[in-house]
Amino acid sequence: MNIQDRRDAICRDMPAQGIDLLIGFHDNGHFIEKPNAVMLLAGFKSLGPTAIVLHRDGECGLIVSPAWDAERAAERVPGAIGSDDLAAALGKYVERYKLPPARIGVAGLAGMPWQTESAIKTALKGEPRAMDAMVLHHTRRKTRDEIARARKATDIAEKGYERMLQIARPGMREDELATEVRWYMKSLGAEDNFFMMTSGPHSMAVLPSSGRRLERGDLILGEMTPSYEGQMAQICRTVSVGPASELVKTKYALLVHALKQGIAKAQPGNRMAEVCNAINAELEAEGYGEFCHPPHIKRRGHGLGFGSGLPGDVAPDNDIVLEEDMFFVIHPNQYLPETGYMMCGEPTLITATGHEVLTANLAALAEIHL
Amino acid sequence: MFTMQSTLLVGQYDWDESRLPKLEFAERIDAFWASFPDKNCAGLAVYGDRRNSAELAYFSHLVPKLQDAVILLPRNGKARVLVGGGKNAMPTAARQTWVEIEALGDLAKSLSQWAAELKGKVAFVGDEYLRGPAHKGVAEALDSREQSAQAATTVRGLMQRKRPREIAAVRDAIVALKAVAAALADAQRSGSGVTDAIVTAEHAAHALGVQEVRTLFSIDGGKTLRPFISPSADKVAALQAYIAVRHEGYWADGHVALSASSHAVLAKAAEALKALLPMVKPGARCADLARAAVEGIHPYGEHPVSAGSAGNGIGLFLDEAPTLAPGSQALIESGGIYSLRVGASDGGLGHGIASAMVLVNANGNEVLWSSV
Repeated sequence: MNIQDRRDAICRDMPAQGIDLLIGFHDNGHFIEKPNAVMLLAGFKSLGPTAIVLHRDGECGLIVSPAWDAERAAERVPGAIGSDDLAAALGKYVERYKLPPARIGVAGLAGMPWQTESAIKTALKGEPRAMDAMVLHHTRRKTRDEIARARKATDIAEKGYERMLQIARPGMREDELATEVRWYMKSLGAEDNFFMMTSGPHSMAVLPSSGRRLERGDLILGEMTPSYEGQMAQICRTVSVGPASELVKTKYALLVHALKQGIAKAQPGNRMAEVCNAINAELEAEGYGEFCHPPHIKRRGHGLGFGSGLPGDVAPDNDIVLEEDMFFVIHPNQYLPETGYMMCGEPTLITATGHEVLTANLAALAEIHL
Repeated sequence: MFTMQSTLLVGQYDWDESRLPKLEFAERIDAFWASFPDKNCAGLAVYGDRRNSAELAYFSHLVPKLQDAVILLPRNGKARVLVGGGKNAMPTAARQTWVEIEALGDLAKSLSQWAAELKGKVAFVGDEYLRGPAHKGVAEALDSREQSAQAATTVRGLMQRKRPREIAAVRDAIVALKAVAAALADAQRSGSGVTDAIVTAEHAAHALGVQEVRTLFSIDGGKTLRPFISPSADKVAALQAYIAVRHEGYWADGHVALSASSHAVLAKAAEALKALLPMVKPGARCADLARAAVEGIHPYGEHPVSAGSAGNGIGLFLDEAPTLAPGSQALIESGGIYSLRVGASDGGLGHGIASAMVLVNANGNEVLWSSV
């Protein structure tokens, strides 16, 4: 499947949905969990408010702001229009088709700032139909290009992790380490990165890095999520500053064991909930049932954007059936009372016959030798 | 300038009391209440998120790395910051501000409750950053549209006239801007591919402890600018780049043109910028400056990137008011820091943007940085 196949499938579905035009929106608020219809349908990472327009006959248009970004946009969708006023340009574009708002579907409009949303509704002359679920449904499987990018992003994540192991030292600020590792991953091609990293002797969760200085005996928690050409991959790792205690080693081994049980359930035809339940079962058997559910944990992984969050959270209430080319991270990251929060997680691709973990090396507790 | 926003901020955002002491923020808050025309308003709430944090940072120092936040400033009483993300997010956020922090639940409910406690109107700044449901909820909770509009005007007016510590922070950002520009020039000279050069240059800013670096660059002789999306080993003979650096919350930005040989269009843009600089003084009309920039590049046309604007204020906002646009009614003010840009294009192969940052004082201005 390529991006044109994806667009064609949506266009074929439009008559059944009762729409003649589908408009996907995004701006520069790129975020790991925010669906990005423009990225999904145009492969374009926007600098400003942007709309992709799909017609039921397969025609495709792209309107970007700022106006000067039109040439870059045209590399993705030939004929892309640049405008410093998205609502006005979109109104002019749609005017040609004389469509009532009820025949226009939108995705991502509710994610725009309210003034932009309001101006667009005015330009469309009414309330269009929210079709976010339709777009997500048709983008639940990655395209061939997205999978290739996910492989590259995974490779960058692993190299970033190796870099972290090389340079992390007691006395170093978390944010100094995070900045350096993030920059290193950018030097390898990652244009963005949702890189959470915290440290401490007994952390409650992983957070954005701060000015805290690393100390001997800390566990560094890293959720490394580089994006390569707009496709993210994520690995979750735990590093001991100095030798890890036997208790930490034992408990980490439990998490890795649970991870493997979850991965084993990542099969086409299985429900996502089965992946989560397999992980929880291992931890519950060891007496950690209390910590397997909210407020401690609500999920054991998630879909990987930018773009579509589907197949969604690795959670007990997610009944989505896994299909070939679905891509998500499985991470039994867990707070345990004896050790604090620890992390392990792998980006996983569903294949025709099973799964493929994209990392070369599965999570293992690492130690910084002092 | 439109730039690519990061999905998560990772730089050094902790509050450094030695640079921006509590007294600095107390004076900003006092200045707000002294300037705010509605003397019956009981409180000011200032909202920010990871993309739009200027007003929030002005009063709190906090730049949200992940979740939203709002500072509550009663006319009389103690300030509080409410931070999203639950109790686990509190320790990181607490390091970023001088204010006591609490968890933020539902924004509208929190504001409604606070207004009830104060028994008076609460003005809200940051409404335009909200999504529809949050905007509606806050509007219903506070019913203070007029006070909020006045408060936004007052806050942004104060922010335009930089205080001494703010000017110091911008000067530090400019040090980093210069370092990035120099590293980019070195990388370009050494024959690096275009994205390698950009990434190498960004590293120079990180070494100076900046919070964030954003870049755009050309691969077509300066005709267009683009963000780093894909690595490219291509060597670009005439590299036009835009660099923005945030340090201690404050931005510095500029355009640089790196070419082995000068060309007439870029030279004309540089000449127009040089002519513009002495005109940027207190009382100058932004519209006149914009027109002068366009006239200065004759016979060439405006570069698409700088078309319609010869620059803007800069500080905690990357794009601060006023915009130096032909239709602007605003005047240049003493104490303001402005980012100026003059771009020219011959419509064919010749394109160039020259830029500078100036601090306006009573006598004219001090050029803080210039590409020419």
